[in-house]
Amino acid sequence: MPLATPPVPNPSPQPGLPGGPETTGRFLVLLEPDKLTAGAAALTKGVGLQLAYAGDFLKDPEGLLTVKESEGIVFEDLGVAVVNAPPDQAAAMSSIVSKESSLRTVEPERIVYALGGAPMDLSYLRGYRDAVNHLVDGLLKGDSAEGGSAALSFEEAAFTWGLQAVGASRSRFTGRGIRIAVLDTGLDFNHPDFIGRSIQSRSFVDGVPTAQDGHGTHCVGIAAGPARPAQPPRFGVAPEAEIFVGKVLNDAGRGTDGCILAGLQWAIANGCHVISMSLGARVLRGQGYSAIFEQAAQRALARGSLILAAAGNDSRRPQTVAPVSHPANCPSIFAVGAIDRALSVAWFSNGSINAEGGSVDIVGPGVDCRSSWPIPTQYKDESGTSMATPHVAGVAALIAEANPEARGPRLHFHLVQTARRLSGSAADVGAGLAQAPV
Amino acid sequence: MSKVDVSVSIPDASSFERTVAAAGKVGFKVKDKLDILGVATGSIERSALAKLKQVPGVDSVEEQREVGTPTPVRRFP
Repeated sequence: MPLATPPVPNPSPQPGLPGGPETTGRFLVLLEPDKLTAGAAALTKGVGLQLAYAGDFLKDPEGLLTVKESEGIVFEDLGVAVVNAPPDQAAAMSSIVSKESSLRTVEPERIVYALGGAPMDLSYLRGYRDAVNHLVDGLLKGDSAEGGSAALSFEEAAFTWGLQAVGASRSRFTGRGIRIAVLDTGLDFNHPDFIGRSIQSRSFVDGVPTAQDGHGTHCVGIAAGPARPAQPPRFGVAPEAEIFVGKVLNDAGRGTDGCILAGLQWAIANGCHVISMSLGARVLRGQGYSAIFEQAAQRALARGSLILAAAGNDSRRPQTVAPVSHPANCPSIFAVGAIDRALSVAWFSNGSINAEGGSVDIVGPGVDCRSSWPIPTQYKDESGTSMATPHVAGVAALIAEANPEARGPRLHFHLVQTARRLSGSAADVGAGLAQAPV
Repeated sequence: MSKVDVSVSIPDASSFERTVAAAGKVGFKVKDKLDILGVATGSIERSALAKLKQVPGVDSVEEQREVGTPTPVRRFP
């Protein structure tokens, strides 16, 4: 899509005027971020445009190219509509934009060329992306002469290395007012770090939400453990988030699709802004994603709930890299990989092997992560994409608190945009390391 | 006769209940009606799966997977 148009410096000739940049005949309309629906309705009513929504093409992004010329497309994440209005409607559109509070500006869409002069298309965009990734990778590798890719030392007296790596230790946000669901093996409600805390819980497997297995307690601790645990260091990313514990795995750490879907419905119905799932099932190379979980995730996004899931621990790097697990391989579920203290991809973290959504979207700390564990053990170091996922979920809660408009797809957008770029391949680390707002 | 646990997607919210009822007539035993997700879960005889897929309003039918905590990470290999 020709949306990556560089800004035209003033006072250069204006697009569409003699001497100005070539234009496509279409127009870009900037919508007010919190009034996307009203803005789209105003365009439909005022200029008679039929608008499609890019969010409806999450399964098939290239399907956007098939949208008829007579239609327009609303890119919800960008807050931009690309519309094909005939020249005699241009003035009418400017008039509508000037009157409607839901519309900010309108400008002609410019034609952008690759340096060789070929018209821009998807293959050009892919080539551009790959070239930039290659360039950045090379530069960062060259920069690592002092000892590996960004090898960092972490003093963990006050904060775990994970909290420092995602910036939660420096953030003024705490997750207050944000609901975060952890769908896992439950929680030890008698743990001193959670006694007295307001926690909603429900079991979707036989038994009560209390955890005998420590996996769920560890994940809840990383996502939303207290600011001042009984024993430092602090390990919880969003200590004031409202916790929803859904037990969808039994004490042996096993469950079914049905348990997880039921847990998702419960979390969405309760208005959870972030849903963290450190669980999965292995998929084979070439295997597609679940259409049912994808539909569920799209419904969740539409209701303002962002689902994150562990990419899986099946790789044995450098020998083998396994594909992202189910359900993290769904396009509308955020797949979280793991990194170590050197900010390098963890040896077990699954990678972007399969097409159609099977990519790692982002990474979080996932090696030797301290968090809560059922008493009497109380605290334990664990490794896995299971630990990386609640780190990123906690960061999402902080971003959601800092940006009240960041819900659902827009929260997804913020997470990607603010991630710290890493030197590893995008196939392993996606957009990079999730970063908390300062 | 072998029963399988399945998930069924029913995208059209306005016909959700009607479609679940129609699925019941071909042998689908409902466990959970997850209307927000547009999904019903339950079980059915394997021999009736083809009929379930043909119920008007049913989009996808998937046998449920076993899902768990990811493969434990014990040590660096």
